Amino acid sequence: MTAALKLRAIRLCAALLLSSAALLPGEARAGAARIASINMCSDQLLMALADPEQIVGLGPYARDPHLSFMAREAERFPQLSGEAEDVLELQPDVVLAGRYGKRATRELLRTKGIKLAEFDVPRSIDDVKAQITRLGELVGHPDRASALNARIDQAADRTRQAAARWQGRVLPLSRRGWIAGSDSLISSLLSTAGLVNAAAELGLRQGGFASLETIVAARPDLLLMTDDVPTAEDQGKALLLHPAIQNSYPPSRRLVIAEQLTICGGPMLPQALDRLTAAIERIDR
Amino acid sequence: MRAADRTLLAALLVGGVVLLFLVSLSIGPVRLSLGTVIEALVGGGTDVQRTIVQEIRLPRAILAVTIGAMHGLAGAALQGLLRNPLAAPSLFGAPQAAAFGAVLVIAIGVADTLSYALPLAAIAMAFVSVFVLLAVAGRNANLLLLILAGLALSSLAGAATSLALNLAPNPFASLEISFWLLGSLEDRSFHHVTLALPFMAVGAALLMMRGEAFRVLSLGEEAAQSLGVDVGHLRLQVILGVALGVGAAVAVSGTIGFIGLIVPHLMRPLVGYDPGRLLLPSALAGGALLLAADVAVRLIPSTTGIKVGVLTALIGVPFFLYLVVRQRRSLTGSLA
Amino acid sequence: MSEADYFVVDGLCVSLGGKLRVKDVSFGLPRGCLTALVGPSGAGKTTLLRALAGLIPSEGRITAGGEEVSKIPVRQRARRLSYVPQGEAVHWPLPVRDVVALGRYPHGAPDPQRLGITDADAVARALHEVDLMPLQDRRVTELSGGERRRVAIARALATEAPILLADEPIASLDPYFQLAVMALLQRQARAGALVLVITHDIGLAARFADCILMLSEGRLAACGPPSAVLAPPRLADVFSIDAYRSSHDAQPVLVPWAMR
Repeated sequence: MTAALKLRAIRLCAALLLSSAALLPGEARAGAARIASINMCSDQLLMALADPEQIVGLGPYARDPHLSFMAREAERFPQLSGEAEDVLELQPDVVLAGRYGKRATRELLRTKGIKLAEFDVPRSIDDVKAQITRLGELVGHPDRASALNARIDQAADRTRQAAARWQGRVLPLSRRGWIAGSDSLISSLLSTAGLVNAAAELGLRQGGFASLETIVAARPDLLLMTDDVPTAEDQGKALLLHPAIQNSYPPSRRLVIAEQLTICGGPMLPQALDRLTAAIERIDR
Repeated sequence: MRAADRTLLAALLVGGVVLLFLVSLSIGPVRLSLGTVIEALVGGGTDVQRTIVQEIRLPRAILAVTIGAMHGLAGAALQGLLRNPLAAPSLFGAPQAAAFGAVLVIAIGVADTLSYALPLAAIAMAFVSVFVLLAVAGRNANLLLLILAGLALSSLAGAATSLALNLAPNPFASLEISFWLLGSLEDRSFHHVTLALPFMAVGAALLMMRGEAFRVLSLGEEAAQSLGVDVGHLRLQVILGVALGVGAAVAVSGTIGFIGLIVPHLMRPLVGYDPGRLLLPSALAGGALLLAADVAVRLIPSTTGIKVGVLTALIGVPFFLYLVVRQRRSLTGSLA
Repeated sequence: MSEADYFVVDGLCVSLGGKLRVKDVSFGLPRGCLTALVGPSGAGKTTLLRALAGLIPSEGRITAGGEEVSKIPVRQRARRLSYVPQGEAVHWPLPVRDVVALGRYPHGAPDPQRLGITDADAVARALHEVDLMPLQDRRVTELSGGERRRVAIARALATEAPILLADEPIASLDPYFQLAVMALLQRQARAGALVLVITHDIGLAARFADCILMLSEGRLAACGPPSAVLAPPRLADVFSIDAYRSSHDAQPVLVPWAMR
C-alpha cells in the first residue's frame, strides 16, 4: 500500500466512524501499530490489551492513582495533554477517545485525517465486555480480550453466588450527592449481585444529584461509596461527611469500592466485582 | 422616630425572622408539615424526620439567619464608617478575599473544609482586603475610589480563588469554584455552625458596640474626632469586626453578596437615617433576607440546586445600579 | 502673655507630609475674647487650628486653663475644646436637633433622643442662639447652606466648651448671615468663651474681633488688637494690599481696596 493509498484508507475509515460506531473491517486483522488514547477509560483498556510497543501515549489522567486503575503501569508510557496538538505531532494510527466531551478536539483530529475509535460510557457489564472485544480486535489481540472477558464472567459468578444469600437496596452515593442511575455500570454491578439500586426510588433513574434529605428519607439499606477517608478536601466531599449520613450509615452499612474500580469499565472489573462479593459476605455475617 | 416605633420595628423584624425560620425548616425536597417539623424539632417524630429537621434543616436555617445578619450588620457598619450608602463588604471584595483565603489553605493541603484553619484563613484574607482597601482609598474615603479599588480587589481575589482551585489536585475544581464564588447553604451541618458562629458573634459584637460612634461620625471624621471619637481606633475595630464576621461566614457558605448593600438601605428610612440605630434592624433584616432567599432557591424548580449567592446577586446588582443612579451627582462631584 | 491668659500656645511647630507648616508659633489668649486668625491662603491657618484642636500631632506646648492639652483624656478634652471644621457637612439626613445634640456626646449623652435635662437644656440654648428653634425638626439636608453652617456652629455651642475653634465659619455665606454668625460668635465671647475663628474677611475681623492673630508662611506675623495688627504696613507686607479705612458708629471700617 502506498502512502497515499494508506492515507485515503484512513480517511475512509474516519468517515465510516463518523456514521457508525460499529466495528470496522480494517481494524480486526492487522492490529494497529501505533495507538494513542486521550480518555482515561480507554487508557485502561489499551494498557490491558495492547503490547507496550503499540502504545504511543496515554491521556492526562492515566497516572492519577485516585482515578486510574493502572496508574503504575501508565508511568511507562508518554503522557499526553488530552488536546489535539501532541496527538497531531505523534501521528498515531488510531486515537482512542470517549464519545462524550472534548468534542472540539475530536473534530479537529478528524479533519486532520487521524483515525478515531470512540468509546461510549459503558452502562452494563455486557457493554464493557463488548468494548473489550472491540479493542482486542483493534489491537490485534482478540485472545487477550476473551481471556479478560472470561475473568469478568468468573468474578460475576462469584458475586452471584454470594448474593444469593442477601438482598437489599443500595444507593450509590458520590461527591456532592451525585447518585448513579439505574442505567449505569455501577447499577449493572449491583444487579449482578442481586442488589437493587435505590436511585429509582429517588426519581433518579437516569442518575442525578440528590439532596441530603431525600437520601436520608429514602433509607436505603446500604450506601455504596468510593472511599472512607474522613477528610473533606472540598465542599463536594464535605457532604459525604455530614452528620446526617455519618450517623445513619456507620461503616457497617457502607459498601466501599474505590473510585478507580468503578469509574471505568475494563480490566478493573473483576476486582470491582470481587470487592462487592467480599462486602456482601461481610454484611451477611 | 419615637422609641415606641422603634420597638415596633424591632418586634416586626424579629417576628419576620421567626416566621421565615419556621418556613425554612418546613421546606425541602422531603415534604413535612409544619406540625411534623415542630414535633421533630422537640424530639418527636420518626428517626428520619428528626434527622432531616434537626441535622439538615436546622443548621441550614441557623446559618442562613446568622450569616444574613452578619452581612447586613457589616454593611450597616461600613456605611456608617464611610458615611455612604454605597459601601458594602461585597463591593469591597471582602467575601471574595475570604473565599480565596479558605481555598488557599485547602489547596496547599493545610486543612480540609471542616477545620478551624478555614475560617481563620478566610478572616485573615478578609482583614487584609478591607485594610488594603481603606488604606488605598485614604482617610477621607472618596467613594468612587473605594468602589474602583474594591472592584480591583474582588476581581483579583476571584481570579486567585479560581487559580488556586485549578492548581490544586482536584478534578472537580469547576464545581468547587462555583461554590466559593456564588455561595450556598445547601446541606450544611452543625459542624459548620460551630465553625463559623463564634467568630461571627465576636465580629458582630465589635460592630454592634460602635453605633454611637457611627452617629457622631455623621459629622465627618474631623468633627467626630474633636468630639472625642478615636477615629483611627474605630476604623480598625470595624475592619476587624467585618473581617471576623464576613470571613467566618464565607468559610462555611461561600460568597453571598449584596445583602450588606440592600438591607441597610431599606432599614435607614425606618430608623430616621440614624446610623447608630441602623445596626440592629440591619442585622435582623439581613437574617430575614437570607432566610427568604434560601427558601426561594429551594422553591424555584430547577434540575440542579440554584446557588443562593446567585439569587442575592440577581436582586442586589440592579439595586446597586439604582443606588448609583440616585447618587450620580455626588459620585461625579466627588471626582473633583 | 499674662496671668489672665487661659489658652497658651508656646513654640508650636507642625509638620505635614514632611514639610514644616507651622513654625514656632507662640501666643496667649484670655477667655471672653473673640480672636480672628487671618493670613493669606497657604499661610498654615487650618493646620494651626487643627493642631490646636488636637487633631494632628504637633511639637511645643498648648495649655488650656493651666493644663497641657495633649495630656487631657480625649473625652475631657472634647468638653474643653470644640471645633467646627471647614465646611462641616452632615452625611445623613438627620433632624437638626439630633445633629446639634451630638455636641453633648463628650458629656456622656450619645443618644440625641434620650437626653437628660442638662443636655436637653444645652441643646435648646444652642438652637436658640443660632435662631434654629423653628427648624429643629427639619432634616439638615433640606436646609440652605447658611442654615447648615448655623447647625454646625450650634452643634459646637451645645458642647458648652470654654474654647471654640471654627475654621472659616462665614465663608460662602451671604452678607446677612456673615454678620449674623460674627455677631453670634461675639456674643459667645462676651459670655466668657474663648472664640478663635479663621476668616479671610479682614473687614469683618476688624469690625468684630477683639484680637487678631496674623499668620504668614507658617509664622506668627503679628498678634494683638485689630488696630495694631491690621495696620497698613502689615497688610502691605503680608497680604500685599492697601485698605480703605474709616469708621462708622465708632467702629473701625476696613475694606480691602487695592493690590500692591
